[in-house]
Amino acid sequence: MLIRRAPTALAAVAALVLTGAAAEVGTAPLRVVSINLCTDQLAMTLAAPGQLVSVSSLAQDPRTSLMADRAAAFPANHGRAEEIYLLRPDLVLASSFTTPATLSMLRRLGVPVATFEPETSLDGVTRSILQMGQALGREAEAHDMAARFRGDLAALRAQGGAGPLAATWAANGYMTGTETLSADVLRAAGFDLVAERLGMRFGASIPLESLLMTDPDAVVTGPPDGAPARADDVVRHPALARSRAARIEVDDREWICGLPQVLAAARDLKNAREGLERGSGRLPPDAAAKGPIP
Amino acid sequence: MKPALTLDRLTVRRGGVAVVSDVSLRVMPGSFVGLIGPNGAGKTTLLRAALGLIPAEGQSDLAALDPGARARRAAYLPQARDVAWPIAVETLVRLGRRAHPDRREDAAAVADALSRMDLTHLARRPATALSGGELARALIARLIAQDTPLILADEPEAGLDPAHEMAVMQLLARLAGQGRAVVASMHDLGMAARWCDRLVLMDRGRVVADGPPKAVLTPGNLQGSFGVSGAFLDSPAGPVFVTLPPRPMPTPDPANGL
Amino acid sequence: MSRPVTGPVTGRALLPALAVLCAVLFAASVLTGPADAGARASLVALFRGDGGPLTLVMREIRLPRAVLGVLAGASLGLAGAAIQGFLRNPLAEPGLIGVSASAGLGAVLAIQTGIAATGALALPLSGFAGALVAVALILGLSARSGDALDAGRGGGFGLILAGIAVSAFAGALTSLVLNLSPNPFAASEIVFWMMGSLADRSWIEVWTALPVMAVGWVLLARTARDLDALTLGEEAAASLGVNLPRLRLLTVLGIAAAVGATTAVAGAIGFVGLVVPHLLRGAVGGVPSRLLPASALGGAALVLAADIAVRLILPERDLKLGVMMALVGTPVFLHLIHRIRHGA
Repeated sequence: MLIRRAPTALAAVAALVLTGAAAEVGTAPLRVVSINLCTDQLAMTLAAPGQLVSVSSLAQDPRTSLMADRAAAFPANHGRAEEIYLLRPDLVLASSFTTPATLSMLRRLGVPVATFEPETSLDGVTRSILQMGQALGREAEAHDMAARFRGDLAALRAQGGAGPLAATWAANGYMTGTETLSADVLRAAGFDLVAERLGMRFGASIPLESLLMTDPDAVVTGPPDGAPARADDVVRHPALARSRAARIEVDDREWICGLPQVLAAARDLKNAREGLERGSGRLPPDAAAKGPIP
Repeated sequence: MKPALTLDRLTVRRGGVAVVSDVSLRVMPGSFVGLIGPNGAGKTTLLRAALGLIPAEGQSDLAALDPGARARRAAYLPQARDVAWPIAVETLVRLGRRAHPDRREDAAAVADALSRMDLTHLARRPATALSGGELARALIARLIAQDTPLILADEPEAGLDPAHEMAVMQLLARLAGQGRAVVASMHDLGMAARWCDRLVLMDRGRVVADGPPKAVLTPGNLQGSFGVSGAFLDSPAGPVFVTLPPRPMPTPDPANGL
Repeated sequence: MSRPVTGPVTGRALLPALAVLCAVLFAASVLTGPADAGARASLVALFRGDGGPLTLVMREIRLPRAVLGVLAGASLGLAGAAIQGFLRNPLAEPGLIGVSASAGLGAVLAIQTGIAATGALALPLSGFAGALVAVALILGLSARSGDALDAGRGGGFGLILAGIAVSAFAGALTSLVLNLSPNPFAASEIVFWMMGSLADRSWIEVWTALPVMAVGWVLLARTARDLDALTLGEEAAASLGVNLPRLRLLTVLGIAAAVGATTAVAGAIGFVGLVVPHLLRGAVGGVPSRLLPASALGGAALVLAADIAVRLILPERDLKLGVMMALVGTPVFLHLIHRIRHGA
């Protein structure tokens, strides 16, 4: 079975239908190879024992993966068509952003490929879970998981009212836009978004000045990376440290993929938000240590 | 009287070959020494070694001085005549004053040098916009502005038209007449014979003859070093030296004129 | 600075005029940015300080950026004038002959190995070390052409070829190091190290780079009188009392310090050292010692102007300074080549 690259949510649904049709006639794949960090982790969560034969090397890296321990049990691949083909898969799980050359090569070799859209919202996580269930012939498990996820999310989701203003801020001054998973997680945790004020839908590198002029209450960054790069300078810029914005750290791997575990990040952010709101002047108790303006 | 320049057994080796070999020379104040010899004889190398610009064995009283003191003792006109930047002629000439501590004398020295070289009207002209002859004169003016008891010049007459060539030689001779010592390498044997009171003939790194022009420009020396012959002829301005084709070509009979 | 040779009267007002230009551009730079706050409000926020976000932006982002622009421009202009004077070649430029690229390599190695984090001066000193290798190499190559005394003009194209080689090699190694870095963003920095930028720099960069730059300025200022004499060639200069080995050392160390520190914090900003001396040479009557301070001020003005331009043209993007410089510098460079080929 062959699924074309699906550039829109609509196409993703169509892909889902196709995959589902395949599953219904009892052709659940037996040798599944995942070549994308996000499909790796979702597949490990949903696959039947023995069904998944390889995950990508990124899934084994604790800096990027939440499931590095489990991934270590699988042979790793590096997303190259040749090594994937030699694994003799009857289904390859990839992202719609996987290198087109690799995908078309696999298709020319007759390997079925299922592509998953990157999740841009918490609803998208539900969709991905269901799509994965159908791709693996594990619909029942997927439906259970999706239901649990929806329930947990509903319990967590903040109710109405204006929240503190927050932005994500990463290397090279990259800020995620409103139509991203991290933005949806922040909204669920009760934050208002700087990206909303700036009219940013996706994400872009913006000058630090533009961020600071929105006078955010909180800036969400990743923890300091072990590997140094000049790109991180802007995350450590003294102007940011001197601003009144509280620094909240969320590990990138917590919300880089649309996994059920993303709710853990949402919960942490919600706690941080409540801490901000409790503190006088909306500063969290630990923000003073991060050097607001004297 | 103390010599203006004393070289003792000066030897320069390049790649194991002695390009200047065992040269000893004393130049007295008031003397205009013409350094002559065929291409590759070692004239330029000798001048550089005398100044201490390149390493040499033996002794040179100039090379032993520190650079500032040496610049006040000897002015040097190298063969390289290119001026890198469009500096004004006046600025170029003023470079000669670099080693002199007293700035107040600069203006007069520069003006004097410009006027001696007939350059006053070009004082503000960029050096890069001068003709070859004008540039040569500007560079000699720098030499004069340096106001040293000793002048070393590597082919000072190169690139000059006959009038200016004559003027430069006359000037150097006059500077010598005023008590300076001048050592100039030159290719024009006629000019050398006409203006220098002493010629030093170099060949393959060695001094092969040293003395008054008539003693140096002998048929033997000319044939041996240059492969030409020559003769002193009488003229209304005194004896002149002309180079002539090598023997055994027939020598023109002086009685018949040229 | 040592006593310069007096040049023509033209341009006596040059240095004050350039200083005023720098001041105006500095003010314009401080008032330029994506936060469109208005000059009055910006200046009030800068000087009085209300604790609001605009004060923070003015004091911690705009001001260090403008100051770094002045320091980087002055360093590059000064270095350009000095290396041109020393090599007697108007095509010599720290960017063109690979000094900036090598400084970038030194800085990248320092960042990637963690050396940069070991001390405040570690980063600019690493840039200095990288630049030192390149300057020494270039001067070595240029001196080897013919007699040690005749660093004649003919070496112009040889110098540029050597510079291209050094530049390409250092650039390739920089790219390699960044590609091998485990940091996912490192590879995206290649463009910074090749094009340079002052975006989102802070006082940290200013204070770390300044000491090393200042050492470079002092060393280069001490070359002024000797560079004048060098106008007549190395032989004449030596006979005029110039200590050539000392001059060479001052030039190499001075350029490496000024350009190395600049590149370490602002990337490789090209063409400043080429364009500025070229534009100002006529105004100083071609005198190298007068060109040094003029080029320092002119370089500061050019970098400030370019940094204003990148923010006006694409306010939300980090348009690299090198892009602007190349737009200005390439025609100047081609013009110079044309002039040299058809006899100066």
